[in-house]
Amino acid sequence: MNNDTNFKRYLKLDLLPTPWCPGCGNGIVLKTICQAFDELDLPKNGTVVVSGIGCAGRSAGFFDLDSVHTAHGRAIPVAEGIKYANDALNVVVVSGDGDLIGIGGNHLFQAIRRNTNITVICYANEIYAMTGGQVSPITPHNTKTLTTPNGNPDRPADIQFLFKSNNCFFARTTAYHLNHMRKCIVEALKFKGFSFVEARTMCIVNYGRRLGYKNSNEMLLHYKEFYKINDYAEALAENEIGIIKSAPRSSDGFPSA
Amino acid sequence: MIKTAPDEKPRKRKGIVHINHEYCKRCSICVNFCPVKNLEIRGQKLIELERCTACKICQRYCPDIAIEIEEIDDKTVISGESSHHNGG
Ligand SMILES: Cc1ncc(C[n+]2csc(CCOP(=O)(O)OP(=O)(O)O)c2C)c(N)n1
Ligand code: SF4
Ligand code: SF4
Ligand code: SF4
Repeated sequence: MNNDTNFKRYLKLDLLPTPWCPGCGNGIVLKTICQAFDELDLPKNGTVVVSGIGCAGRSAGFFDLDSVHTAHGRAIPVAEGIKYANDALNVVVVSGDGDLIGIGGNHLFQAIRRNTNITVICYANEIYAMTGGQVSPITPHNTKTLTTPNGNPDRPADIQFLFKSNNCFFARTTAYHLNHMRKCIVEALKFKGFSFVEARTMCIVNYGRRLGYKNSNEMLLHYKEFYKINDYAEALAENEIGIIKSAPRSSDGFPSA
Repeated sequence: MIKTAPDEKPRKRKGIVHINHEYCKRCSICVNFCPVKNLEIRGQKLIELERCTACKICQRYCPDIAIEIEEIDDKTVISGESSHHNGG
């Protein structure tokens, strides 16, 4: 129709709608990733999407690109293998926080250590959603989930420092801050090295409702009120979104250029 | 609902809402965010009330690519209406 909808060329429109619940934020992240691809005009022939298992993991199949839906937690090593086999490809991982930081946490750590030139977009709904809403490594302290009915006794993993100390790229953004999310994804794709975008997104059915949110709008408005943008800071506070400054930002092309 | 004269309504209306009912999951994100309450769910279906200001908040936040706004300019022919919106 116009520039606003050009991103749809990266989707298999005939497979829509997605299987996600009404009001699930995953669709907002999926759409914003495609908008970032469109902004950079990534070649459909030279871009590969890899996901793990979970609600978020389902997104790989909706891209009109070559894609791999791997086993739970294994998206990153598969993506690294693709990149090391063919450096000319842009390789993008799309998966959930449980898959990437929990089950696949070891692989995440090794990819940070290697600074592999791939981009990870984490659909960070703070929960293991597909299996009913179990606590995840980034569920906030004291938050009620299926497996922490009295509130999460543990602190969430603050993974930004791992990226910083290994000269990788880390950004946090939310499904409310659409322009910011797009900017984070574009910068992550342009970064030469390992880049990770933690996109906070709402699981209304297996998380939000249990916390008392009536609908997805209330979760979006929570992001609006809770998070402040602090781009290129040394570190992000719990209530801040932004791009970590110490990452060597590169403006000269895509990872594979 | 207040009735406006036929040649007045289109002047205030700045966008035509295209809803893809096959994609729409009736989640109400757009209904709750529309600043002019142009969207409603009636009888399990999302409908528009022809007072869109073309702010595109609905299109931007819809997780399911189910709603798109066509901006009305002087040349737009509104389908289902017989003349140009500016009076013809
Ligand atoms: C090896 C293995 N263990 C457990 C499961 C069950 N399982 C399927 S999806 C899922 C949770 C995924 O959570 P997350 O990655 O956060 O994605 P979300 O569903 O929240 O988008 C689990 C534990 C599995 N499929 N395979
Ligand atoms: S369970 Fe949660 S994350 Fe999964 S599709 Fe439903 S709303 Fe989305
Ligand atoms: S936001 Fe999208 S899916 Fe939800 S009701 Fe509106 S058009 Fe339908
Ligand atoms: S474009 Fe704005 S005014 Fe028009 S229906 Fe969407 S949210 Fe409402």
